Amino acid sequence: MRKYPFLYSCLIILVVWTLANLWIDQSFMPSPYQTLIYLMSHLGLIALHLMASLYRIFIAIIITAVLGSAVGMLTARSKSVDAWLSPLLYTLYPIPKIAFLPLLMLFLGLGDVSKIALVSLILFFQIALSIRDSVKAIHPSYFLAIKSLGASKWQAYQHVIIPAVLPGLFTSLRISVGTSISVLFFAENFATQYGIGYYIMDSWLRLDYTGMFSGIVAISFMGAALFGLLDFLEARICKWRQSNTQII
Amino acid sequence: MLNAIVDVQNYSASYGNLQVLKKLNLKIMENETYAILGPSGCGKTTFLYALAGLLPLTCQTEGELSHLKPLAVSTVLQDFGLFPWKTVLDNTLLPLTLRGRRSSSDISAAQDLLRWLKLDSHESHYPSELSGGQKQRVAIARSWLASPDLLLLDEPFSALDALTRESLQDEVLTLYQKSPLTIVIVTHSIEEAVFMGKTIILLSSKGEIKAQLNNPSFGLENAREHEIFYAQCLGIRKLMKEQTWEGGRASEKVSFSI
Repeated sequence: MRKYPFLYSCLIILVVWTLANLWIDQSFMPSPYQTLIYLMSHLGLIALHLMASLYRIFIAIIITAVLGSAVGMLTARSKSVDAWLSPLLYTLYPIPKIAFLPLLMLFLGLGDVSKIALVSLILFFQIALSIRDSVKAIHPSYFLAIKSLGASKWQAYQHVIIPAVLPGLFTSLRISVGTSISVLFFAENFATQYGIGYYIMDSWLRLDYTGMFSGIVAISFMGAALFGLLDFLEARICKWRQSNTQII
Repeated sequence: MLNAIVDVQNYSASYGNLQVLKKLNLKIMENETYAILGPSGCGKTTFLYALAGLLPLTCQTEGELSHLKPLAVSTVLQDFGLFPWKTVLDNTLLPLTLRGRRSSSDISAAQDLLRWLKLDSHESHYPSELSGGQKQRVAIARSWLASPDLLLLDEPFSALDALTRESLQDEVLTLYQKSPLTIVIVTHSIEEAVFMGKTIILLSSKGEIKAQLNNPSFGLENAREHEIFYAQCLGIRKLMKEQTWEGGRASEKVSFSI
């Protein structure tokens, strides 16, 4: 089981789901078997919807990872930028950005751009703040060490700040994947006919519960695949973190 | 004739109201080794950072500390200053990487140095996989590879056990004998100061230079086994413990007793 943790967790979900299906026995609670058969027979269509969502998530995450990290690092490294930007971030972060979807659609159109913009708006703040805090948490001895080697400001970013915040960036990207899927699920209910969120809601409205559950299974696999990709990238990029042995 | 490379005149440093260095006067000569000895909190590290140009902005200074010629300075910090995200080889090569140099001959020079310091099997390891002594060896290899004119060591061996400390002291001196350069080592260990410093500078707890001593036991073969080494250590110990102390008198007294 240790070898295949993913299969192990799928098995637990299948068992709980089967029990729920036996207990509830209603049309809006299809069995895992029915759902899987449905999923396989509609794989092409569901994959199309998944690709539309994945595309929006990827673009939004890439944009915010770059912008959010840049703003977070600048805020942490410059006291004057911090004094101006942090209050602004604190004021804008709690605003429910979803309420701006009509505005975004008005200015950016009904297509992908407004949906990507909505997800990006929400992700930007959590990434910027977490990167700001990771930079502030870098031990001053690293800056002393790089300065003693005669590094320039840019070289300090390259050899200290960026590698030091990478693990924090991966953590906030993981949180972002979860957030972006749920925000997108909402946004895809408006003015689109593609996207896994649209597919699930559309099946629901057509009372096609097996289709709805297939969409839910698909969204769950998509999330798991994204998390898997992040874990893989982190293991490849942050190699130094694997050498820490478990103590407790 | 030895050339002075750093001239320190009436140099004082303070953090707010706390004065850490008081009117230091000192000339640092080319290819000599200096050990700066003093109790904790006497401003040793501040002086070293001043030499390295690493003082924080919050530190106010007075007087002069001037490099008399362009100097390549390299510092080994107390906590090793290694970057956990770089392998041993990348940490060692960093001073060259920062200068835009990383040719195959640079890499093989780094590898030779690591081999000499018995680290060749750890080249691709990360600092978290090394022992304290190995980390310090990497820090020394790194500062050596920068080919400095002035090497500054900030209590470099204080976290190590006695035998590792001695072997690292030997290694640094062997490197020094191979290619002489100016070394300033800050330490609170009398034995270390006597072993590493051709000139020993005693700082008082108020940050003044208490004495500047020539060390006749420096560079002797198996110096630690010589009587003169122990006489020197004992003399310095007495001098450091002396409560009422005035000007140059004590330094005469010590050179007398040796």
